[in-house]
Amino acid sequence: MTGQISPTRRASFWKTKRVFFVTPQVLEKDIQSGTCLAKYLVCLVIDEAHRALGNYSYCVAVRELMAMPVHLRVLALTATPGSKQPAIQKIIDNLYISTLEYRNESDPDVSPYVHNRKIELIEVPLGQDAAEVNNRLLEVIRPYVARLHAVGLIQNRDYQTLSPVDLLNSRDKFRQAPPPDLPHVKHGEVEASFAVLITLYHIRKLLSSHGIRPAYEMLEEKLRQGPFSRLMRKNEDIMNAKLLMQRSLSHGAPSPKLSKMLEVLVDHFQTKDPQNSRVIIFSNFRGSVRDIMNALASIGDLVKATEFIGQSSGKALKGQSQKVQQAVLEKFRAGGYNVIVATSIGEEGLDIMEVDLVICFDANVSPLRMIQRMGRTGRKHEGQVVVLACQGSELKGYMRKQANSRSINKHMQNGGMNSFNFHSSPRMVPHIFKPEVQFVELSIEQFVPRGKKLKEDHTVETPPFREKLSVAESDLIAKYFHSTSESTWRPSLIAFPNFQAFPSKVYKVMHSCRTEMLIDSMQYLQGLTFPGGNGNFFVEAEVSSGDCFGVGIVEQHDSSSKDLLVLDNSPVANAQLGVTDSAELPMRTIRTKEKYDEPNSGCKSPQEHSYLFGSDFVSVDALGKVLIISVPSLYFEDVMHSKHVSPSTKELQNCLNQETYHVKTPDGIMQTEAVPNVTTSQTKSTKDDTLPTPRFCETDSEKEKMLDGVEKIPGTPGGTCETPDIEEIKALPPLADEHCRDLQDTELSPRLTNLIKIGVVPESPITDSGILKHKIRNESLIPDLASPAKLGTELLLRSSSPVENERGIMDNSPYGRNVSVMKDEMTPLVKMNPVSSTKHSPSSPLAETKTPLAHLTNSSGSKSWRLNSGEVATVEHVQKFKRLRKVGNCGKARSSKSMKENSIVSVANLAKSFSGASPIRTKHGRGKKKPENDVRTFIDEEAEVSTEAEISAEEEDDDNESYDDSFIDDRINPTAGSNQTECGRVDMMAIYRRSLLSQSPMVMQSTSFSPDCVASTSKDNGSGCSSGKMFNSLQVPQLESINQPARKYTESFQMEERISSESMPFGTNDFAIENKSMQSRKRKLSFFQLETIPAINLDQEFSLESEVGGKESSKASQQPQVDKITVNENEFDDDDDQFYASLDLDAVEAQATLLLKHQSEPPIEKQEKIVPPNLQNGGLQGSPSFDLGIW
Amino acid sequence: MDDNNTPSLDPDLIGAIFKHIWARKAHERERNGIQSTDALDSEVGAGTSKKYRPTSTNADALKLSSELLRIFITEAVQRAATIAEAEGGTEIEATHVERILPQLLLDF
Repeated sequence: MTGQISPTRRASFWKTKRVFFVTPQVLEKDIQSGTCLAKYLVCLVIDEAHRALGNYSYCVAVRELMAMPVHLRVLALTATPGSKQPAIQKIIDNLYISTLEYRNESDPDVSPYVHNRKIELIEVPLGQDAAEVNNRLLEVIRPYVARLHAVGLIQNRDYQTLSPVDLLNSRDKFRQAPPPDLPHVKHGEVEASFAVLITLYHIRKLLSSHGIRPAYEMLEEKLRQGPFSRLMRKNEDIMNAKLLMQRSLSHGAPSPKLSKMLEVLVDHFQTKDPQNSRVIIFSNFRGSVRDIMNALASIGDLVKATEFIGQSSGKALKGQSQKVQQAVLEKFRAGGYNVIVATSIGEEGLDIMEVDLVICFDANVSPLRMIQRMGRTGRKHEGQVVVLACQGSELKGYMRKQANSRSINKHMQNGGMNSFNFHSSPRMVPHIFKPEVQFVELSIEQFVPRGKKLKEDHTVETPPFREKLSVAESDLIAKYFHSTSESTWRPSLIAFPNFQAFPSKVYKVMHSCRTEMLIDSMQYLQGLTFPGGNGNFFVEAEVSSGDCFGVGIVEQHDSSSKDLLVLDNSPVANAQLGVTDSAELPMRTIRTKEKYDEPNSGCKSPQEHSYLFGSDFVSVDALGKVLIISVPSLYFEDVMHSKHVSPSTKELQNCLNQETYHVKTPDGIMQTEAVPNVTTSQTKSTKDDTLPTPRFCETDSEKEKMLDGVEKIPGTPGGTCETPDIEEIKALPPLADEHCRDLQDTELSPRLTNLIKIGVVPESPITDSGILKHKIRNESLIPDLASPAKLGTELLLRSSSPVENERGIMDNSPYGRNVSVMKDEMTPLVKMNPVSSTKHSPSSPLAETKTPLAHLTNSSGSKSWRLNSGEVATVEHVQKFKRLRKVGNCGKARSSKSMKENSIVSVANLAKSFSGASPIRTKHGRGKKKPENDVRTFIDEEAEVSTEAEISAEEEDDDNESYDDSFIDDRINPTAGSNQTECGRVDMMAIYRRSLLSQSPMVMQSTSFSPDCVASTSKDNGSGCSSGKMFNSLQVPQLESINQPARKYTESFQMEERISSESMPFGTNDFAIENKSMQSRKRKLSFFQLETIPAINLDQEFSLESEVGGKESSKASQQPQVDKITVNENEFDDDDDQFYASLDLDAVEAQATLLLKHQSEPPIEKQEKIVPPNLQNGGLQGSPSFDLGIW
Repeated sequence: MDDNNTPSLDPDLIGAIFKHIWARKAHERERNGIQSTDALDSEVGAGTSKKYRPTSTNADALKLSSELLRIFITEAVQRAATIAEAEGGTEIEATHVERILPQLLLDF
């Protein structure tokens, strides 16, 4: 045990072990502290017993042990008990030795273990320079010695043989007993003389034994300071000696000893392998160690020498720490060095392996140390000791000391009984036992260096906890933590980069900003720009609106539209028509903001909702196209959610929600389909040419019809032609993800711009300057969109400008513009020829809007998909219409029939709305979170349909609830806020409903009537119908944009119409009939819807009416598509009419159902009844379509 | 730490672990010190003889460390559990931990 082991550990060792190897210091301390159980000690073996002098630990420990009533034997071993009899006696006293056994190497029991050791004494003559210097120094010494001799302090001796030790002894004598005859004043002088002499003799000794350089350095140092320099500075002889030394040093100061030593070394290594042979050179003086090292460096590779010195750091040489010393010995053992130049620390107590040659660079050392030095060799085999002695005093000293040790040996003879006093100790072994000598060979199989033993203990030690573990647990540990530290399992931070692209679910600790940074960067690195963009959008939306709407794109639109809407709201209130347009925007904003304060926008809000939906759809389409990457779908979902949230405030919103749900489901389908689309995009494009074209044609035709109706622009064929191209182009981009991303980005911006434009547009329609505004808007949009898009928008604006005279036209144009904007977005994304499409003017924009849908369908690649999307869109429109109708009906009935009811209802509605709104919001918030989660899951699983359906269902439920409330609220709000505005809204709603109803029959009239209706507040039923038809038709193809304007127009028209006339039932009846006729188509559509959208069922449950309407609309849209597919472009007009009729029928049916519901519950039941059959039909027919949806 | 219901780690254990790690680090440092001086042919070695003094922790710091470790462990387990559940497994494997590890480390 050493001091490196902690006391607590030592204590445990003392208790558990029987044999200890302890340093004397540790033994001393542990005996004093009591941790060593001294009572049980039986035998104490002391090595190097000659150290037991003074208060060394040996002495202290033995004294402590002797003070205790302990019976123990002390066995003290030493090779060098002492150089003088008194010294040996002291050791005997200190260790309470009772018997002394002396052996020398010639004794029989030692000789077998001792190898022949050849001791060679080499006399080296003092060098010429050294001799001269020596003489000089003697010259200096002589007067001082003479002076002291005169005083009687130095005995009569030759001053040349005096040694520093002699002088020291003399000085001690002088200090203890100064001669009485010496005057006290002279004491200082004598002291100074002694000091000078001691120094000089020391230098002389260095000179003789180590050479000129150490002596010179000593002299130099002494001359620099102290009393020696004061006395000697003026001494010529010393200066001469110094000069002489300096001169010889400048010549290299070849020392005869050094050269002799090198000679011996070379001889040695010539006879022995330098790799295996080890040499130790002892020098008593550190300065000479450096000289020796320098000299050895000249020998070359044969000698790999290092120094081995003590720890104390002097001025010239730094000492070596214990660690360095141990490292040196380690390398010496391993063969890194074969020569060690050591000072006295290498003489004893060190575990130095076998050494072949020991060179004693100085001979005049004590016999003890000489014996220790010689003990370094000859242990296992023969060794050689070379003693280099300088002629003169050194040699004489050596000889004297050898004689001295011999005399001591005589004292040791015979156990030293005659020379020393011993301490008796009682016999410990009972007399009955007679111990016998047994020879047991104890061999150390493998030497383990102590330094490493500690560390190995750590690793090899089996921790105690292992015993407490079950087998399974220990197996688990072994699985990840092997016994060797190198193979310990380390978790990898880079194993799952895909999991770092989105935040992991947290338990209690939320993600830090650093984690979010990581996620963002991972998304960026992995090219998941969509998620990142969505996240950004989310953030922006949250910041801007503060609402919890999670949908980024939608939110952005909403926010932008909100601002515009806020501005527009005031003008909207003033002018109904203008208001309608503006109102749509404000409504959106209001809805998003959930501001019930502005009830005016309530009627408009549905339109806006539809508009939003349209934009959303468009975006979705674009996304869907782009979405080939699964990620976008999630975004779409989010968008949808946000949309749902906004609509929640209003009934229209409810419809929109349903629509959005539908859209969501299609999106999911789209997503699922997207993958195949990407792969087979080209093939799809070809297919699209065939199948999609009809659809496009249909949509185009519808749009064209709408346009024609309004403006009678013959751009339809061009538009249709263009659309397929666009589709193809679009189909291509999906292939490249990057393109898709770019497209998406551009799309986003265009959407925003669209919103802005829309917001501006409403204002413009009111005034003629709208064109300019539109242009400005277009320009603003232009930067975002591609230049062709600008052209297209401009063209659209131009085309709309002529139409601007009529607000309705204006509205249409803005819609068209919106559509065009959407188109522009699409176009830049697709890099199509937007100009050409835009040139076609309103029709083209419509076509463009249609095209996105078609693109969506194209992306889906399968007709079923297209149908689904179309159905969804139609469904949404239908729902919107239905809602509007419902609202209108309610409003009409309430407003016209009894204001009291309205007020009451309004109050109730308000309360409901507020309550509904808050839950909706919360729900929306949840929905958002859910969508995000869903998105993640989607990304992970890529199976989005189910989750989307669920989400949509949830949202739908919420929306439905909220819608009802919101509708009521809206109505109420208008009434409360301003009767006029309220009435207007109500009227608008009614008009919408009526128009929808009437539109179906009046399909043909729609085009020409719409402008008139817009222009004049009081509109004919027919015009209203036409407008409604137009809207319906527009809505069907364009879904969003068209629906909105149509709604607006229809609302305004319908308001008056409804108020004035009661043609609604008829229309409804007609519609019902038509619906019946259309049931087959509807059924198909419904099948698709049912199949694709599970959420629809929920919606149906919540609001059968809306669902039915949606189904019908979807059916209608599907039908037209089918028809279009079959029918040629020429036939489109007819088809369009049919489509319009179907749409109208659907709308009429929805309206009728709404009216019936509002008026009386039975009708609702009827509607419900009607709906189920449709659903059933759809289910029956939908079996094939299901497959598509499942895809 | 506030509620007694939640089991917390034994501060003594944490302290022991800390000391174990510190001791090992110190050993490594010393070894590196020797090697570096060895490289210099053991000519200059006086600077490395600094006495190794073990790092220590006071009681409050240990308590706090224990709580932090507890939260860290529970969070890691819970997150890994969600991953494991998502994969339909009932056992948390190393791969599950690896999946949540980067973000977990950044969260703490």
